[in-house]
Amino acid sequence: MPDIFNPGAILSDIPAILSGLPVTLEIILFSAIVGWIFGLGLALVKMHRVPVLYQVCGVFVSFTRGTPELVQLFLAYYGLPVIIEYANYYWGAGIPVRTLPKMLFVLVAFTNITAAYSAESFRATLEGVDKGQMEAALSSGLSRWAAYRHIVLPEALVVAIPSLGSQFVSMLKGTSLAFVVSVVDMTSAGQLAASRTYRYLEMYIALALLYWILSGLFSGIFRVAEKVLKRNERARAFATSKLAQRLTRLVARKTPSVAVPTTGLAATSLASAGATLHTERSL
Amino acid sequence: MTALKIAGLRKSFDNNEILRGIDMTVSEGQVVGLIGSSGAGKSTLLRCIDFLEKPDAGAFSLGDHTIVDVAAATKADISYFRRETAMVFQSFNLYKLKTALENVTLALTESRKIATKEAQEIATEFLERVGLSDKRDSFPDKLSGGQQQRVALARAAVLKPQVMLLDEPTSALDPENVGEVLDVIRSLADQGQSMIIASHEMGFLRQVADHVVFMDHGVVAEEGSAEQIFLHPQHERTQQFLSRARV
Repeated sequence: MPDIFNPGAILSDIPAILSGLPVTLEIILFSAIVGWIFGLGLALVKMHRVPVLYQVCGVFVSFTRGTPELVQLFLAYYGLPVIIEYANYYWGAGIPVRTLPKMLFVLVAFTNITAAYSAESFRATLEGVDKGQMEAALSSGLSRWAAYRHIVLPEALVVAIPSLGSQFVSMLKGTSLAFVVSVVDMTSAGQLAASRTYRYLEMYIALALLYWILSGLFSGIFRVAEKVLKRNERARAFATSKLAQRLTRLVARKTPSVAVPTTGLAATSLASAGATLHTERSL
Repeated sequence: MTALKIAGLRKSFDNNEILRGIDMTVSEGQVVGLIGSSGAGKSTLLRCIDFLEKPDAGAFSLGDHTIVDVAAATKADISYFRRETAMVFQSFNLYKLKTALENVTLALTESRKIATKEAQEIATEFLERVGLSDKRDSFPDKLSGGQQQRVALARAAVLKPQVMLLDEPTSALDPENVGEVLDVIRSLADQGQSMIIASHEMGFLRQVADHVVFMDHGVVAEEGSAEQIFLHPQHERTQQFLSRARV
């Protein structure tokens, strides 16, 4: 049999690709966390129509959302050094331009993108929170900031999480562009490995599978986060979990040979959700 | 002793003048009933006192704090009025992601800076007073409308406000839930809590209110004791309103 396609190479490529995983995670986690904080700031500026800043933010969001990620990346790559050179020239900042880590450009570009996209989600969900919630908090003597922190933000976050999650996953896939500025993420690491063996198809299959798994993992994390934040519904899940447990046990007893994959899984996850709730209560 | 005094309060939305010079006084421990048809400005009046709407003109004084020109109220003025009054809304406005107990506790810990444990004890006591200590860990969406409004009353009363502002507290309730809420309001009134109650529950106001104010098109058309207003209304508009309200 001719050695055209070697399935074994898919497995053997995985360690090489995984050597780029920390970099991929660094890009996505940093740009998500910093980007969300910026995005929330942008949303508040937009909501309260802060003069001047409001217009600047509007242009930033529209520009960033309206341009390809690849172009953003190059803008950061070529643009940041120019800004720093000027800063050195006029204020004597003395930042060495040549030795700037390549990672910096990637982080700046992806943080901007996350901020711009999440700003719209935050704004929509913040505006969706019932005005009465803020009024109740203000009228009881809370400051506007305390009202946001304790009441409005948590309620908005619950609604925003699904869209933040899908943005996060599409950004995760976007990090594969980091190779264009020679930052060695999973994609770059895989390409390097394949350039030695010339088994590109096998490497890309392995790479695709790894991104797929990673996306699934993060989607799951966001689903759990949503459940955790929906405190009022978590209390309800607790009530149903006991019922679910009992049902599972009943089914398992009657048909011992048959595994109960779906209900069993649901029951355990519900039960664990219930257990966390229970421990929290007792604290 | 005067608790709250309002003089010449005006408020417009766009070009529509809702309050056209309101004068009103609430004495300590007094229950003032605020009546009038929808759109007369009852809600706007209460919301202006709490600065949820920005008043255009007038003067307020609460306790020993006076604001000569409410349109120019400072942050400190506003925060004093918000801390020293408490609002109960028609639509309850309980915090959705907080339990009944947390709803009552929040302002104690965040605005009054009382330690969490002590705040919880105080809050539990007030939930008991409104008969809901067994619901302390329930979230608002698990409570009936009447129960939600009782929690909201506990949330307001726990702050020991100089004046409590009740904005149609029973208007959003199913008829069978109205009684339990009115009972709680009555018991607060009996304990000497000063309050302004905007309401369409004429029978209730007649029993509870020490003083009744009839508002019409942004002015106080007539005021007096409950008996005076309900039994011997002088003003033609008051007579019309009450004859329709009694039906």
